[in-house]
Amino acid sequence: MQKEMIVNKIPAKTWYRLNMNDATVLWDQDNTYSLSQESIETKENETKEVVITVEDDSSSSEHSYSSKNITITAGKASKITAYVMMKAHQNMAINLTLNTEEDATIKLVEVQLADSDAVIVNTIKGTCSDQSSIEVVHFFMGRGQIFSDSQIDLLGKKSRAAFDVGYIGNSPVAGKAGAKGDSIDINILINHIGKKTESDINVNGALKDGATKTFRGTIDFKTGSSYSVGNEQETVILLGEDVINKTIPIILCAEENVVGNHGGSIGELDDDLLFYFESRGIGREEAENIMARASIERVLRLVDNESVREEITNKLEEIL
Amino acid sequence: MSEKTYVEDIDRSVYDIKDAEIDNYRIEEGLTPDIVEKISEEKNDPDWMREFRLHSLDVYNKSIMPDWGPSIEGLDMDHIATYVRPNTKMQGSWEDVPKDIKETFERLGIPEAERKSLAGVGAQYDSELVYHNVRADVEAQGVVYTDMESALNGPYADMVKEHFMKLVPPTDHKFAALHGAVWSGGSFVYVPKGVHVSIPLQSYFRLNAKGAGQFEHTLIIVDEGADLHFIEGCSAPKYNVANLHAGCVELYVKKNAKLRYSTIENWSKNMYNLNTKRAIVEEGGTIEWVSGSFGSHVGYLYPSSILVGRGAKMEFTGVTFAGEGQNLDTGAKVVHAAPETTSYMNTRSISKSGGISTFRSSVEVRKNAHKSKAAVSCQSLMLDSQSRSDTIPAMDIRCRDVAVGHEAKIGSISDDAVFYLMSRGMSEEEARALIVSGFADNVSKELPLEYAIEMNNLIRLEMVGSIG
Repeated sequence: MQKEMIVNKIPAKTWYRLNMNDATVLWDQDNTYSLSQESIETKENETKEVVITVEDDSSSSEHSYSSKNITITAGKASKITAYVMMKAHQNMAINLTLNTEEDATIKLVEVQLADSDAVIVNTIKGTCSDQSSIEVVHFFMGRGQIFSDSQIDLLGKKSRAAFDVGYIGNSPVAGKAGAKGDSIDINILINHIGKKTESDINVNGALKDGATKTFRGTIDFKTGSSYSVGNEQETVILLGEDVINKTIPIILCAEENVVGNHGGSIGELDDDLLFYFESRGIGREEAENIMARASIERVLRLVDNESVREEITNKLEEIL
Repeated sequence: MSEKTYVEDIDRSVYDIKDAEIDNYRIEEGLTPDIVEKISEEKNDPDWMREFRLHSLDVYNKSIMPDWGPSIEGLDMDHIATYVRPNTKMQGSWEDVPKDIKETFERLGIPEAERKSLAGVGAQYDSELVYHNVRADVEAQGVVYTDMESALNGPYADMVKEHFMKLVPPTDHKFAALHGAVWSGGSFVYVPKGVHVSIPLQSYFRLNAKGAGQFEHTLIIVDEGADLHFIEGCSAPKYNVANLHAGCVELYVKKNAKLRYSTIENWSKNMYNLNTKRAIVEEGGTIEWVSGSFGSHVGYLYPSSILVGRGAKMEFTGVTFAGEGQNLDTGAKVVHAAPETTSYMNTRSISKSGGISTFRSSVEVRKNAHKSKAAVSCQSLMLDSQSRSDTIPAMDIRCRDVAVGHEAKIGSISDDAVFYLMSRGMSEEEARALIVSGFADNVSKELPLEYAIEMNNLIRLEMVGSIG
């Protein structure tokens, strides 16, 4: 039986009428099929790259809910680059745990390629030791309802977290009765606990007709996180008439010697840019597609693996 | 050894002088239907208002306490007297106001400000107005500026009934319901079509009584093409028990009209300031909020604007100073509900000595708000690590052809800025003092000169010590 599951909670509530304090997912926990667990580790000074494809059974009604846990632990001064390709045909939950030891780096690239009726719940919990970093690159390009809930605790001195997110919220599937536009719900929380820690959150995307997106981003400077810096930036291009864009960029600060910034812009392509495109023979629709593509390609530059790049590029061709 | 830059608390001595409560009428503490009926009887309410109060009390009892903001656990309504009437009627001359009350307002500079720079003044002491006057030339223009009770029972009774708590209904939140049940005092202003009131009107609210609440209602209607600047000031002496302020401000800005609403809030640090302010703006109209929040133990204050007419505009300029023992949750709300509407929020907050300041806002752009623009800018300054500063701006955008921007910055005093000023010949101490006082100039430059000076006096940020 489906039950309500609360996800994407923000650490400081605001007015309830805005419906932005959290999100509710309908999930059948009793009938959730457990996919194989993964654990990836590196030894001291080791460098490793892995590609994990997570795909559920599209034909089985018994397996309409699945979950997978992935744990990634980077040993001292090591580096792991992990690519997680989420190919969900039905409802899928993927839970990632990331831990870095001193001077280590985890780079996680997640590519969401779900079918139109899928519900995806993606959680990331991470901790960083001294001088280590966690870099997360997210592509939300599939269909359905996406709930992405991430928390990184910067425990160690000079540790760092970076999120680069690119998304396209698509229109409802043409000709499908009752179809809805995509719904993308992103929550990112970075806790600055250690001294001289750094965080960067960059979220870029485009919303087509009927698509919905919520972005909750929090930089939390805890007492003791002196000389830390956190930046948060969001750009949303609105390409459809019935879009809903919700944004709540939060900075919480209990420390004097820190710097926190957030900035963002939400809207359609401005007239100057459209004029520039038109002066080069490019019409409005094509210009909008170019800018939507740019929001993904900006993040694509951070992907080194050729086969993963190709898969993202192919998906981009398919949806634009 | 270097000494940390010290920023002086706001000097409150002038505000903390208490008057003895002599021959006041003070209703018993608590909140019951009997108490609400007694207030209604005392105020000679028309029947509809009596019923409205009892309905509001019912809504209050059914509403939940907000749990998303600062704690209000220290507020016990069973120990708040919701109505305290001073032993005087409302006067039209300061000479007729009882000596102790008159001296209080003189210390606060109200009669002097009236002589120099105001078109009219209303002065409320506890639950009732003790003085109200408007300049004859302004009155001759057809401007109505009176106390709410006179408006409710006078020639403008129908206008009051049509607008009273229609913008902020008792169902809005628990303390709007409380206000509906026990409101008393406040001002009614009507500016007729095309009339420009060239100098401001001011209402000043003084809560002297210990353990009491003040619930004044301000209702302003600026008719088509008219223009008004209204200033609101408030203060109270400090007690060791909780006091409560749950006022309500409703502003109607008609087609092509303009209203600037300025507030210098300086309640004492035992005050729970749970105030509600809202404006509705028609086609081509403008609402400008200028807000300085310096006092209160706990504050919830978010002036909101509903832009319902094409081309309506809203601007909010605010500064919040949270010192020791203060938790001030301030900001603004705007709803773009018509095409080509614009809004701009520009705020500063300063936290020191354990004070907590939170900037909270919402920008809602509805589906029909084509070609609208909104911008939010908030900056916060942390002066020590015992304090807190949070920013929680929310945006809900449902229209494609709009432009919405937001930016926020939290930080401490910039060493680069200090270095730059020192390279121009200032001492480090002077440089830091200049940066801190200049941080709040977004509000002071929007106020009339006399009030800007008062605000700067209020802040009085003094820097001492050698800085290593």
